[in-house]
Amino acid sequence: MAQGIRLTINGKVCSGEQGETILQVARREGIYIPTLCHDDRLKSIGACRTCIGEIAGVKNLQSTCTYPASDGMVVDTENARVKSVRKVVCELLLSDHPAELKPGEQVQPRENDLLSVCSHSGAMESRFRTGRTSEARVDVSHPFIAFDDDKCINCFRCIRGCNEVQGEDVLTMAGRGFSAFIANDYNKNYLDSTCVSCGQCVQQCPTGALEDKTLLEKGKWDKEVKTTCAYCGTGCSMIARVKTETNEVVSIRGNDKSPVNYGHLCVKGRYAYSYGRHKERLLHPLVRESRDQPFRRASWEEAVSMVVRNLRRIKDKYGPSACAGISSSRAANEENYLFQKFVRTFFGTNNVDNCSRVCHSPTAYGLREAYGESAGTGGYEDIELAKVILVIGSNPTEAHPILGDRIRQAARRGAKMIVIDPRRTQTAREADLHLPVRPGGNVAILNAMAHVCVKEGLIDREFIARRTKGFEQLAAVLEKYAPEDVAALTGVDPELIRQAARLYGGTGGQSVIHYGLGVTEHSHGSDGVLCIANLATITGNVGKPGAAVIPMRGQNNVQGSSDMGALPQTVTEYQKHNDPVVRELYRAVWGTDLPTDPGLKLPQMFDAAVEGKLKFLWIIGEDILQSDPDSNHVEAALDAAEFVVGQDLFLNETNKKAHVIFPAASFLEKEGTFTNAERRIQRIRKAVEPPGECKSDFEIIQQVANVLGANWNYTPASIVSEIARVTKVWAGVTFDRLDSSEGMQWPVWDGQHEGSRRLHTEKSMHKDGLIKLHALEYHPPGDELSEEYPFELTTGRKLEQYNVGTQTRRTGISVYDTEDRLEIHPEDAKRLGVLEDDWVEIKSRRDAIRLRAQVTNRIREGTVFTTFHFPETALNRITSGHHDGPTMCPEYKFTAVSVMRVGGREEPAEKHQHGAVPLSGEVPVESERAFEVHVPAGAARRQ
Amino acid sequence: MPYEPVISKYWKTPESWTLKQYQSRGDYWGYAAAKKAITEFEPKALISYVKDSNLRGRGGAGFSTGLKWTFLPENGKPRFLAVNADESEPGTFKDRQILAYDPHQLIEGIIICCWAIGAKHAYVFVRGEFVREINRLQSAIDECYAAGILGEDVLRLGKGFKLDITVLRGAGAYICGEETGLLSAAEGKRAYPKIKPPFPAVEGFFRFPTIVNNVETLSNLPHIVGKGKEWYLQQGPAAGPGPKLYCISGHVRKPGVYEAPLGTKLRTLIDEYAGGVIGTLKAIIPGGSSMPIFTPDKLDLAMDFDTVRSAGSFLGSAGVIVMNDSVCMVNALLNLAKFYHHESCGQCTPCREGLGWLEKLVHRLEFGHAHDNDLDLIKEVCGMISKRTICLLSDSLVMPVESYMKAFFKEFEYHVKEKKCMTGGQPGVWAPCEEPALAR
Repeated sequence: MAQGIRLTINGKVCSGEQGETILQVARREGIYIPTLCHDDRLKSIGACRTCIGEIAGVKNLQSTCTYPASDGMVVDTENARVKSVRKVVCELLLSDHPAELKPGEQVQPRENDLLSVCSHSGAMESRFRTGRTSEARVDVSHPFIAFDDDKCINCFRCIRGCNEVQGEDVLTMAGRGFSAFIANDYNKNYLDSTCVSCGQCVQQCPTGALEDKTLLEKGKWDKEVKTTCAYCGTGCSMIARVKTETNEVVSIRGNDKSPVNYGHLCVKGRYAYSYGRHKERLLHPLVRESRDQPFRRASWEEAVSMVVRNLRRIKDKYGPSACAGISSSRAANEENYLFQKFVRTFFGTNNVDNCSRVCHSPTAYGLREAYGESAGTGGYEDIELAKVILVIGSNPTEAHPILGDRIRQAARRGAKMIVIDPRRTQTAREADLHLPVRPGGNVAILNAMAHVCVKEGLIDREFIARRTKGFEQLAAVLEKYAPEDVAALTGVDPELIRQAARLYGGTGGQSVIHYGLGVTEHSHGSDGVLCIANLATITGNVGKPGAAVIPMRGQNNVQGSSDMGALPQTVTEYQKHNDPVVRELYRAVWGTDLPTDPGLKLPQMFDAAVEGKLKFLWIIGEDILQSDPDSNHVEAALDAAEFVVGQDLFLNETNKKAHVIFPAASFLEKEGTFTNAERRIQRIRKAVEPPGECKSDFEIIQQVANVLGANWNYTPASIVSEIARVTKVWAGVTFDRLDSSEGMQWPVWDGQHEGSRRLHTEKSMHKDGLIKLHALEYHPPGDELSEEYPFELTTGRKLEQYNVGTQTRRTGISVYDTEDRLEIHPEDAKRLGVLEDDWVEIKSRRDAIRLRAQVTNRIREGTVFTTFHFPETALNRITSGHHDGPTMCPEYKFTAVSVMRVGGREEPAEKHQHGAVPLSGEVPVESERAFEVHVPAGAARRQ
Repeated sequence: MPYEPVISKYWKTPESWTLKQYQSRGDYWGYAAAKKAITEFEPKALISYVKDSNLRGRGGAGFSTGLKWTFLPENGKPRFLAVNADESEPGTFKDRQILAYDPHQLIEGIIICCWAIGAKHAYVFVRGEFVREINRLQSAIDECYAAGILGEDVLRLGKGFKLDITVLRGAGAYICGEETGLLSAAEGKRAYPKIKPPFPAVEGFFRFPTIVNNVETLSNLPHIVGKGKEWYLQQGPAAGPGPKLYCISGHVRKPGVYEAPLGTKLRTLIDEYAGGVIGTLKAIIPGGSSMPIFTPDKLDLAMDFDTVRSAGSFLGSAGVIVMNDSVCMVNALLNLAKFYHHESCGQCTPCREGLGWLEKLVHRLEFGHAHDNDLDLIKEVCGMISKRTICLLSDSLVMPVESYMKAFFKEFEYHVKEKKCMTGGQPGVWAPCEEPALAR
């Protein structure tokens, strides 16, 4: 326990703790001390000298941001001596600042710390003015960031932000003395540096020397709206800055107070938001009678009545089970809840699923089986508390950049990092141990690690005895999994596995596991999740500070969409819909009975459609034809359905097959909540009005339901109260409570409970309170390697793109990335005669596609890797059609393929076998082009 | 001369930098002193012995060396010795002579120090331009490893005392001579000084307890141990005794490095050692270019830490710069301003911006463009940047600026009013000076 101290700052008696700096105490007590080079996230360097103060008994003036507070200390930061020094410091800082910027005027479109500190210090004019220097460097090469050297005051914040928060070390100081300046690596411009465009430097800059280009182009914002990022499942809190006059977001900053991201954002969150005003945005409902007709613009009433008419027709003709709805992990909790209620009430079926089916359904299943709750056992704070961080099947710096940064920063501070991944990702390069496992070898390698832990006494016997069941069976199975025995399955040096197990098991209960889709998207993905739970449990790494199992959720609301019951067999919080108690509860709240049919999972829906059993399909915010595996099958399913409703921001491959398309609102245009990977329920808020006639998913569902006779009058807030009534873990959640906090981690048991940072601390959430261990054997992947198909194809995400790119491809971020490439190991490439940039054909048992090759040792020999961001690639035409047993999560991460060179660097005449997904004739859309594409000035294609 | 040099005794001997020559000197030379220190003293006792000898740091601050060693915390962390051989102060050229002509003397000092403070690894951070010196030092270290003097068992005494010495080369920045700047540079970073506290003795090299000592300071150790502290205490004032290397440059007939006990009179140094002033004496910088300047009335001052300090300046690195009446003080100051501004690391605002402005202001003074209130502005800037920064670099210019303006105010006023030099020289051009004589 830190010792309490009392000190006097500017006449006010303050209490603090030993080890705090004077500035920390002052800030907490609400005493203003001007600072320029200080930021709470960064190590103080005491360089700008504006925070100086006079300390009684200390000869020289000291920087309060570095000077430790001590008991009985008397500090004055506003006496004449300090003020006169601070004034000269400010004058000196202003000396080569552009003369048009004057303290007291907010000429910048954002806060300008320098000018306000100068105003505070009375330095309204500098006696040292030289004005804008002629040799000033201005760098506008970057698509989002502009740099004006003249405004720079060398406070080092951008440099430290780049190093200490993002961990990229792109920026540095060059030169010395008066002529010192900020340089990128290679000392070239921003675009050609290794910058990952996280924008931390811009957020840090106190003078506007580094500034978002959008702000410079579009001018001042006048409204700030706190909301939550809608890309990956990290759930970063952000502040959208809105210009109400033009109804547009002009800049996004991280929310400094958020315990998720502490103000940090990645390139997607901070800069890839302009898709909302892209010219291809759907602005009004589109309808057509049949697929051979072009879409035509329709009124909302007409579109809704067309949907209602067809829904009634099909339901009457084929029965409720011929109808299905696909909800979206991209949509808000309230929308998912309302949609599953809508489907269950008005379709009369449990045929509702969401897109987390194809990513983290094994997590929902596996963690529930093991711990009794389908969620991560701890929070992100455990990253900083852990001694060892194990990352499996995840490329966090590209797919979950903010978590990636937190993990890497923790590793830099001394935590050990182990990465199990077929690719040598950035985290793998910086890890203490990298285990390049063969795709499909997760169960083998995790069992092998558990084997070593058991054999070498690294398990927590007391924890196992008191908290778990099933250890004997597990131990018996593990006997067979000595690292040496499974070397062929894992493809990893047994000694490496032993070292990893010793590291992970040797912390005495201070190890965290972060895993991603590399674990779940396998034909035995659920087994992989259960093996992770086994390993964590037997070593006692559950429910303690610094000990947790945390799934890296791929999309913003993967956790929430499933929590909300947009699943065929469960309603909210994974309560079984056939449980009598649950049915009773729902009857009381909904006033209707839950349907009794088993419900179809997403892939089953496609099968049913192809078989002619499913006729009506409503798809919200997912491009299943691009993102779900075995696209040919999906396409056949869509073609077979009699009536398809799409609901999206853009015309995509899927809703080109639809009969009615509802134009939806983006996350910046609606109210609601998202739940992130650490169970944190966070608000999203309406920053701008939806363009055209767009409506939020919530409004659309409610409008259709009301035509069907629902008489609903919900608001997002009132939905939350209803969710709270049917969901124990949401019992204490209200909009008001979410608004007054930085989000709440469910379970929130009642109106007083603050939420749960960790689960299973005393007992698991199973009825018996025990954690269940599962004795699992390795099974080979669904798709089989053969002489004809000798390569393992695995897939993933790139930093600058997001999934099928519906959003990111429509922003300035495209400067960085214009195509999917096939990563192939140099040895494999040599054997196949493939050179960098050559065109290659990848063929699987289902189909073949063509890509350009990227020869790199990032990937292991025998495995190839590619992304799926561009529709031209049509990657999912070839991916495996196999599924995980219990959850039907597709086997994206393993497809047996052959690779063949088909052409040189120059594009071959026949580019693709398929080209983009073939359309059923051209689909002319008479949509008004309200917006122009926003191409940031100076954005050039990076070579 | 009655005084018998100690540190520089063998500099003129051929091959004085070789181990063979070093070991042929007899008496306590040739690592006998180090052997004595290790076999006859426990580390703690050695620290007190050195403390009692009143050895004070020769790098500039004159802080008690033994006392500094006692600041090391007993926290079980490995400790390091960083030897400051980044001799960059204008007018100072003593350490390079030790490195070039007697590197074994330094290595022996390092061994004694490391035994006392319990360090197993010493880093010698040498100014990058000292190519010859680095080569001499490195070959001396290599000789020591070959002879079993360094390495797993120092001097083969079987005391379990392991010591490695690594030579690091600076990349040419004055700030590397500041002890925390040196540590930053040694860690492979830009040589940014660090905030104190914590002092290096508590958190230094890679945040381990580190003692930073100057080359000349360490070279005193073999003599303290060899001749005994009683002898040492008799060399000059007891509060800060010992042999001292004075670097005398400027308008003297025989510039060079001269060894004399601390407390030797300035007049003796200039007239007897350096052969007297060329022309009429106008000003003397006693301790390297950053120290406040003396006028000729201070000639009878005893050159030791405390006396010089009480006279309003500092002994510093004992770089005595002598100027005759051909020197325009504004011009001389501009030269310093250019140097210190160029060497500012750019970390703290007052130094980075302030020194730039001081140079600008002195520049326009020298070239006859001064504004009427510039002298006041200079004074104000000095007052505002002095002691407001992480390290003392800004004071290295502030001290000369303030003292030059005080001692030669008329000249500065003349520049403001008459827009030209009082000495009749060309603005910005140095008066021709005699070709400097080689070191002694």
